[in-house]
Amino acid sequence: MKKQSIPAAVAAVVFVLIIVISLLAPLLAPYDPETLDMYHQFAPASAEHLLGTDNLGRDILSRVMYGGRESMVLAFLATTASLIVGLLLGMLAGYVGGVTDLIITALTNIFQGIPGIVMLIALTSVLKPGMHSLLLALTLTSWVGFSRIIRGEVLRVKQEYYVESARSMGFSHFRILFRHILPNIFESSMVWFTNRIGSSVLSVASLSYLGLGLQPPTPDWGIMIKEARSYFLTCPALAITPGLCIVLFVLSIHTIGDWLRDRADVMQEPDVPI
Amino acid sequence: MIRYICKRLLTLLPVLLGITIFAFLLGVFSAGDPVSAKLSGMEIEAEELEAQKAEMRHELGLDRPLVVQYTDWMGRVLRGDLGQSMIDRQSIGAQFAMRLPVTIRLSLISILLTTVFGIGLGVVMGQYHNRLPDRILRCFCSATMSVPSFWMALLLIALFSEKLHWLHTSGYYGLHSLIMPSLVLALGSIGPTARLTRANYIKQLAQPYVLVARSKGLRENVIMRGHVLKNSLLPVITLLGNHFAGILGGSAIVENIFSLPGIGSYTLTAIQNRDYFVVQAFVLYSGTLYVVITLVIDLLYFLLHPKMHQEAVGT
Repeated sequence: MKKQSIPAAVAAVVFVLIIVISLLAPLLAPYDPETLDMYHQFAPASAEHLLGTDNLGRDILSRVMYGGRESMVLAFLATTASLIVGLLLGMLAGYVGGVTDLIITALTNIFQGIPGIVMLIALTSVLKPGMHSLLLALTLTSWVGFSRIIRGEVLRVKQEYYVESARSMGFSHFRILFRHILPNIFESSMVWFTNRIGSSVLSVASLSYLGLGLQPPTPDWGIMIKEARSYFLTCPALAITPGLCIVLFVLSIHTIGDWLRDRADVMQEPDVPI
Repeated sequence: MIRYICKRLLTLLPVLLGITIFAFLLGVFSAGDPVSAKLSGMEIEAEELEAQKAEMRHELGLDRPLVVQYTDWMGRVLRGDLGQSMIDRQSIGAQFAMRLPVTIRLSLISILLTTVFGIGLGVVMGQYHNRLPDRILRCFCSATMSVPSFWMALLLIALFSEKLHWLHTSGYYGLHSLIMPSLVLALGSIGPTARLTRANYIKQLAQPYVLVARSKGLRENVIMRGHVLKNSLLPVITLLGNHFAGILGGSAIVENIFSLPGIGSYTLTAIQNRDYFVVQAFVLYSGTLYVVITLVIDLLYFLLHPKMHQEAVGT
């Protein structure tokens, strides 16, 4: 293995580990994450409760294992939806050009004119709380980045000789777009995709912390930190453990994203986290 | 130059229009709520309830066509009337004006911290390319980009306020109350800024002009500061503009945690009370401000990088 790939390999292991633990949480977790136990509030770490219990006597280890599931699914689905929307609009704008390009670019400018977090807060505050609304809000805020990058990439690739020769051979636009252009812009889209999943996980956590994202009693890392806030001095582990989980997960995604970026040799900076 | 500015201003119009439409629609989609909320407590027959709802909607002007409602609302906004809070009947504009200084100060300090630390760390990383300081700082940058700001805030409060008693936990008592909030707010954008500076710095170092300057016997200091740094900062300026978006929105979260009397915390409290007019005003404020900032950055970029002129104008 090349020396540069070692951090990415470690990150991949961490990433897969977190995903597997989250997926298998119903099998692995020693307790139900939502069962209250008023006789064992704030229990310290012990053989029964490896990480102790929280203010309502719930097992922290079990809650942490469950805590990433919703936000992971949300981040993945929303980013995939954004990728699809961004691919379609970006390719259309870059390939067709003219008025189509003008309209799509104006649309992306509008969506970019409102800071992402502001839009997320505004949308989630108006929509009914729940997974659907979060999915919609996340997609509405993150398709723009994809669309802009893909449009730029299409404009670049369009100049290449292989596209020109494909056109001279009379291939249909559809075939040129999907067989010749798409594979060549795929790599840079994937870099953005990876980083975007990381920032979406952070966004969901922040929204949940503010009470606009996932709702209690869902065992979620963001909600756990929110609930642990009042007990931070007496029981710091309550807030530190889920926070560390978020950091590890997002860091592993970013490290993989960096590796992909170095391989693809594209200049892209991941989004500003919140 | 003037042509470019005119062109740039022209592209601004649809964006501003879009922002106002988005803000307006937020109000439309939520406007049903106060009507239902007001009537939900009363014991009324279903038919009568519908009639009362319709009447209330008529009173509030919610049954008119959307375009009419929009122009009406827009007219009021342009006159500076952002509406009243549904809860305490206070003018939202006045509340915003009162809280604006805190938010602006917080944002400015954060962007200052981002600029200083981002560029500073980036230059150090570029100077020590692939050596130990570079590697350590690169890890640091990745880490800061993966930390949720609200969690970082909790850790800082626990350490500096509760344990060491150096700073206030919450509230606004002057500039020192902004130390922790602005640090937390800047943390997320320092990493990307530093990394971009580093990448550009390394790219510039490899340029032939550096070799020429060295062979002329110019002092290393002069080369770095006068040429390399100057050239590597251009793309960073644009990125700093983008960070303003994150900082404007992120300030809401940070203000909330540190209980700062700014616009963001006001909006988040309003959301809990389902006071959507405030959210509308918040979107308008941050959208417009962000658009203006990007414009200024673009013009600045234009001034600093004359080669852009021809490309931008297309001559």
